[in-house]
Amino acid sequence: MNGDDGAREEGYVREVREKAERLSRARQREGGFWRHVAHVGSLGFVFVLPLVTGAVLGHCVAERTGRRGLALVLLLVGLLAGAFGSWRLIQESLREDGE
Amino acid sequence: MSTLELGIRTAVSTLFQGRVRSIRAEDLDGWFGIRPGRRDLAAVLPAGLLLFEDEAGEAFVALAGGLLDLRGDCCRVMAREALLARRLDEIADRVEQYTRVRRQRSDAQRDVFDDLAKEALRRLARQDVSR
Repeated sequence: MNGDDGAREEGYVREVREKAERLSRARQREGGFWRHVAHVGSLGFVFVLPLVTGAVLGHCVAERTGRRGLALVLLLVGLLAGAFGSWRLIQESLREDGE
Repeated sequence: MSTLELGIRTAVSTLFQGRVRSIRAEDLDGWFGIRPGRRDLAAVLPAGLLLFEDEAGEAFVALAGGLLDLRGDCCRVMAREALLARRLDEIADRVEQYTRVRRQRSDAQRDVFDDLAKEALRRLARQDVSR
């Protein structure tokens, strides 16, 4: 066996291993309907929870202090936190799909 | 259910010959599927995997590059090397084991040829000396 044959065989083994692993990972990710439901559910949860928390907290603080502006500020903070959490979740999901 | 006739051959043997329900293969543009009734096609297959489904279930074929030719309900695959496994997690190990054994055999054959060449040279040298 010469050097070319050796390199070709190594390439063959490497290609098959990589493709088998990629296929195996893709099949593991194909969790089907419930996996997608869970994903969409968690996305909504991550967005809505900080928003509602900010709104409730802002309302309580505004009631106690009498400063209505604080309710709006905390609502916006909640909105931004929710948007940031959702963005991170989507980025993670895209990275997993890219692998 | 309609089926396809699939034949996978290497230079030295026929790896598989039989009726299959579907085939999945990869060419330079990516994965494609073949089911009965598909339009004829020819494709160059790089080193990688080919999948098919028959009566016994799913099968995985490791190809070291080859050609796929589909005409009607007959699909022929000609490959430089091909190995078949029924489980995805064992195909890579089988290829590695196969290439390792072949390399060992090749090395052993080379050693035999080296020994024969040395012996031939020794005899020639001896004949020269005796003259």
